Amino acid sequence: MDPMSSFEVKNIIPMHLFSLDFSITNSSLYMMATVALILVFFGIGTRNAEVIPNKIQWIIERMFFFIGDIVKTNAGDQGIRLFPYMFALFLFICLGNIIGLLPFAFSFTSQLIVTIGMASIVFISSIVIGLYRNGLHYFRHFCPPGLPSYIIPFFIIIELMSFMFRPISLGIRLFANIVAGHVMIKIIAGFAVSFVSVVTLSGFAIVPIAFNVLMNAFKLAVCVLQAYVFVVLSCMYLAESMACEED
Amino acid sequence: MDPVAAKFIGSGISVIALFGVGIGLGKLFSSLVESIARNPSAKKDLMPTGLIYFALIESVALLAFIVAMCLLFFV
Repeated sequence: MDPMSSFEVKNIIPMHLFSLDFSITNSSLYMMATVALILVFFGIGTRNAEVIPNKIQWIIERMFFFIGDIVKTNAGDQGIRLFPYMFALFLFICLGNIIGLLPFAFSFTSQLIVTIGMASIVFISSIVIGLYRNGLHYFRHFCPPGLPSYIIPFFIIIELMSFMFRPISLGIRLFANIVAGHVMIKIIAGFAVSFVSVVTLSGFAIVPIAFNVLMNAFKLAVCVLQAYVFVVLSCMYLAESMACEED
Repeated sequence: MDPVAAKFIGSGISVIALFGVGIGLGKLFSSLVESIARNPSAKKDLMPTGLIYFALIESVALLAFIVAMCLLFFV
């Protein structure tokens, strides 16, 4: 009963191309399943779209406006160009988290490489967008005007450190939330198993099971909340690099 | 000291960070509830901000959790 055993990446179809590993693992299989699920859902929902939406189309429209509001409040009107990316990111993370809650399923957001990878895409594209739109003025927001000259070196170092830490904190937050939830559920389920193994105490096994039901409800909320937080923070990072051209 | 015992003690010590996280979450939600009580119509704007900062504070707790888990399972 190792709580970490469900996070193992297993190789399903080994594939090698010029010493590079393209194998299909359970992680990439679940990613493909998530994307396929999103595509099928949106395909069915918008196949015969009408002015008065049917039920699935209504769900899709609500999600659309939900992310639209997030992007508009955090990135302003010019940030609306970020909308397609943010929408895709939200659906991918949210559905990936929720699929991981199913019994015997693998949640790919519990792999640090996946979350750090998604965070690095946001980070690198924020640098590229900032350099493309503002040129070398982009580096000005590491050093706001009006500081005394003896503070500036320390300020630049601190700002640079907090800037470099962004993708790490963004990735680790999602990863750790998912891993912590899964491990907690497994440890509590382990209590139930050890209660059952003692005959006189087997009735008490209902307590950890009931608590596990509560934990699952809490984790469902955490899954959506973490996807939301990831989207809001990456929206803020991208908007910051887009918007510093006014001054 | 026995290295296995040291491992368990260390993972216990590493979650002392939850002390600060508890204080932070308490302060965050006390002021959130207070501001919603003062101005209930602002709840729609305040809740998303509160949730974002909740996640930011919680990530500190999760870092402590990762250290504890690393000590328990990977050392």
